[in-house]
Amino acid sequence: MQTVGERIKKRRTELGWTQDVLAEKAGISKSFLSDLENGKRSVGADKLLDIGKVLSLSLDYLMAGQEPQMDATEVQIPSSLASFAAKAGLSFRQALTLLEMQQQIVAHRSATRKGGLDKVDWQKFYEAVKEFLE
Amino acid sequence: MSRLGQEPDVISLAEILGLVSVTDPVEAILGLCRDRIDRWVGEVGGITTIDGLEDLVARNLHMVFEEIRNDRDFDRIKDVYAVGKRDAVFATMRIKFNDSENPTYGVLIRRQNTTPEDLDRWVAVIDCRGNKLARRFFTRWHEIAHRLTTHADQDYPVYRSEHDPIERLMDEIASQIGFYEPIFGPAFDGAMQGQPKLTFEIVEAIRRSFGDASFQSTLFACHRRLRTPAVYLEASVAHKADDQRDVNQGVGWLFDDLRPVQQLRAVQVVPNQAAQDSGLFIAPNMRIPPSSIIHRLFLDESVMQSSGLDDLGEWEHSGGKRLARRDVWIQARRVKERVIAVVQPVD
Repeated sequence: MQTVGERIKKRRTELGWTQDVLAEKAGISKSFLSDLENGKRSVGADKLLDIGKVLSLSLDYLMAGQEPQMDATEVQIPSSLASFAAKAGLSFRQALTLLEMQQQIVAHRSATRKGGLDKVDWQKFYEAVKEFLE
Repeated sequence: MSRLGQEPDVISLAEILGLVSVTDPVEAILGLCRDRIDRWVGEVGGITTIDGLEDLVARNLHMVFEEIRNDRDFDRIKDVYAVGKRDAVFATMRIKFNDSENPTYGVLIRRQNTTPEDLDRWVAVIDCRGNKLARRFFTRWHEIAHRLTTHADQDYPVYRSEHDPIERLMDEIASQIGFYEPIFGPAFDGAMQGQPKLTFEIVEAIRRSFGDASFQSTLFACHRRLRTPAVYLEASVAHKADDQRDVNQGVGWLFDDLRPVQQLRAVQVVPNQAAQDSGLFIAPNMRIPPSSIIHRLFLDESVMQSSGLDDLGEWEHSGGKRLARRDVWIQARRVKERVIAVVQPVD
């Protein structure tokens, strides 16, 4: 059975990355990564999340070897954004950029609202950032 | 285990953090947060102020704070991050925080275009305008709690109300680490020296050493830390639970005199550990008797604060059953449409 380190190494080599590249992207030292891949050190959940994010691997897979259920590269455009983009004549690239910007807001605490990206007022959001869109 | 610890989202977060097979996920997550902070504090040889602690924790989490104190701050944040650092999402802060239908206290943003060494890979934007200023201290620690639990690392943005289990968990973490025991403990013990009861005056004195902490958040911290029994209580006008259910379901009443009447009730009741151990009990949502100083304070709008002795034996359930007789000392304060109070036994 593969270890956490072996799974990281397997994915890293699949991507053709050196340890330097992965270490920089995940915000860890190369020596730590090397020890981790060789099973000499353990890793905390926070760092493992960072590494998993960079490698597009789920924690389930990294920790237990369970294969991811979804294609990590799949992009789902919320219906509210798709509808706004069509109305405003935005390109797919522009819609994707808006989505990526929204996804930068990772925690949002308010008095009332629940729900996700479909609740975003894309018109207002677009108006605020359009001067920065290509 | 608390109800919060049984919430699926909280159990799931504990598992994501590698805390599997724990008996109490809330305590386990709190322990994880404390361990991380203890380690960082140990690395710098100790911390003596809460501001210093916040700096240290934020630095280790590669996180900075930006505060909105007036409308010009929206332009400043836009200039610094959207124009200067090519993170256009910061240009949307004005619409986000000026949404009057959905008041927002804070957001946590993961910046693009950063290197692993950048100390501002994460930016917490906090609204400090108007009455949101009172929550500044707590909101800053709330956003730190998100980073500490790495929940903010997930792929999709999270829009939650303050009643959501994860947000309640973040509040719980914030209320504990914002009053970090190695700093809060000595301040609390010093202020309580020789005092038989926790008073609002003691809470105010402690609050002064915690910068911008609100009275209420400091009161919660003191109430939790107190080794003698105390029940925190909030009283406001409310329906009996069954009646409230009918009202929520849109039940109509043919005659006005059959319509349920709202009464002053203990809408929030939080016993500390010592109160639970000693059996000091007040049922949530029970009526506050007219003889209680809480009720008298509620009715007398000319008085902001009051204290005095009460007998819990006067407190009666809707069915007629009363609480066990127990002499208690109550200190109460009017806060908007509510009265907050601390109930402590005299014996």
